[in-house]
Amino acid sequence: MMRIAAVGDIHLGTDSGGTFAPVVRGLAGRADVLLLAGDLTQHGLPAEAEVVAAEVAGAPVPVIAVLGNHDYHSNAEREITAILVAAGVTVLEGTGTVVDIDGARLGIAGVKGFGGGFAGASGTDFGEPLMKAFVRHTKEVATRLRYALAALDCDTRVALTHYAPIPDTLIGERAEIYPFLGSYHLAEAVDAGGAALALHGHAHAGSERGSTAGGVPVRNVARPVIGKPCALYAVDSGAAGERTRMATPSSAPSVDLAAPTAP
Amino acid sequence: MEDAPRGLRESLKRVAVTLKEADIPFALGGSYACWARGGPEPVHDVDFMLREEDVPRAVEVLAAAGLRPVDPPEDWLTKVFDGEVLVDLIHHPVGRAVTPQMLQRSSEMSVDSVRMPVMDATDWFEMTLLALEERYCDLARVLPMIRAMREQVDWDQVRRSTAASPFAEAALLVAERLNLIPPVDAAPVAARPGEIAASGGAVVSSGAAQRGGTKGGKGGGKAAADKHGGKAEGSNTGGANTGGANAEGANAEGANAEGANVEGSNAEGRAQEGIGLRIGKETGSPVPGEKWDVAGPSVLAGQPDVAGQPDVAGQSVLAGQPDVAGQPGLAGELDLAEADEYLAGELRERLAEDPRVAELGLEVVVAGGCILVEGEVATDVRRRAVVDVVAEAAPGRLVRNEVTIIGRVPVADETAKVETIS
Repeated sequence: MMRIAAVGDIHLGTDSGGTFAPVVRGLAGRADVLLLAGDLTQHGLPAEAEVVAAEVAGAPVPVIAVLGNHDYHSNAEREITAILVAAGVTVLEGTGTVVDIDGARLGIAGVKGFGGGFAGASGTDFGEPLMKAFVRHTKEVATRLRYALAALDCDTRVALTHYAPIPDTLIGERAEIYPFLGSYHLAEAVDAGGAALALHGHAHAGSERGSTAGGVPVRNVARPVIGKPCALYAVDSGAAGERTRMATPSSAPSVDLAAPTAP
Repeated sequence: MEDAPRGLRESLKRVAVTLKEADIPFALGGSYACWARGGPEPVHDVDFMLREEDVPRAVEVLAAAGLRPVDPPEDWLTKVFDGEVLVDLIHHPVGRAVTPQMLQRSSEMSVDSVRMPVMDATDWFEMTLLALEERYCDLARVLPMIRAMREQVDWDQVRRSTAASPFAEAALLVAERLNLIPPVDAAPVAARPGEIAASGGAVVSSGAAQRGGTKGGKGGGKAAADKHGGKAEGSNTGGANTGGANAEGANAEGANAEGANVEGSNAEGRAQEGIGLRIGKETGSPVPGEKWDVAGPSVLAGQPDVAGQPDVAGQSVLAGQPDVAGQPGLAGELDLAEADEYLAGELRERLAEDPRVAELGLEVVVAGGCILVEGEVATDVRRRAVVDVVAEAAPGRLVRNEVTIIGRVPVADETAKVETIS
């Protein structure tokens, strides 16, 4: 069994020092890894990232994170990433990492993700340049998640995003804003990439549990949703991945990759 | 069934005495609080309000006194049986935590010959009306309670705090049309500059004077608003506010000693919770003073923060980013003449964009000239900044800040459940 602690949307500000460190320390002996599902800072300021770094520095388990929309707000996501990496955090964006847990290999692939909506009620790559850029960005990050998952050499795969891959874990949010909360392209990637579990945040008023069309369990670990400092999941090594593993991902992207919209 | 109420009362008294002896703060709530205040006697309900952290100890002492605890699936209350009688120990009525302030606002009353704290009538109606929903909106039950308790209630406060509920609005409309309760202030705190806060204060204070005439002046929030009216007079403008202060003074004097005490503690409680704040027009920020302890410092604390991020704003300006509009100082007042729902939408965006709050999930309701903000933020500074941001965008409006702070448990819960994914 691999024990995963996860939380998103901790929104630490410069006034939040000391609030999260006890949670991290308390994971010793209770979890094998801590996953942070984005929105680590409140305004995306490097000074706030320093607070996050100080809170997780010296964590008793590997800390793996994706950034969230708040972490991009001040156009300092690279600096924030560097600050977190310097504190020992593995920050994923279209990339993956493998953690060895008593000989079992837990692979985590992560992207921030983006909005766009869910099957039957989603934005399309049509019309104004801004609208096309919006939808293409979603498709692009979803594709990167899929490949990052597939590239993991491990026994069990976990997908980590900030935005939601399915609408089930948004229940509680107003339906009108679902397209800003996630995209079904992320769920496609989760299924195609053979993940055993998908974790996300972002939707504070959503629900904790759901699953993709392919049967992969999805958990919304946004701090207000889980109602505790972090959620704990035990994942069977190996077995779960096989069930959802449909085929080796094809070598060519199934969607057109647009030119990157951000540097 | 004739015996049922007597059995209920015995259980009620047993629980109250046990909690009092254990020094656990509580207040009688539910329909027995209504009964204690003159309403119809219930036949199946005994409810006590407690803070969540006191519930385990309350259950312990009640179990020691021979009652039988049961752990219901609901997460907002727990239950104990006294023989056949079910007693609810409620810590989150209508989703809101029972606060020490709420318990302080309750008044010591004799209930069937036992003295105990009984929930404040204004708080009681806020909860009762907010509990109305699509499957449970029988006004035939509510109207007799309004009749029984109407002079003990600050109805403007109830209107403000229930503004988000269409069922509460309907109940209050019916009660108003039946002349059970005073009509809405004819001149709601509106968007006319200058005299607005002043005229609003005058309306509020005259209402308080009426209440003072009918009864010992219970209205909790009203007391706070009046007191603020007095404060505003000191540092702001407007003779009508002086009237507010006078009216309150007269009110307190007119009440008997006990009533005055109750009112004093009510004012204190409301002010501590920082609700029902009136925003000064001139500065676009809350008027400083004792009653502004909540909003005042955060204005001061919030501004340097903003000033401390010139690089953010600077970049945005250079890049021509539209989010500049969200930066304080660059963001002007909103058009307060536009429809309430547009104003609510604009305020919601302001709260998301303003760096002092930057919370995307807050709900804003604009009704009757008042602005209600609900939701959760991570820190108290951000919670208090909500009022500042709204005040700058919509000066002169009454703001009710129902935003709560996301529970921060400092240490990982050792008993936290682990979900097995298979």
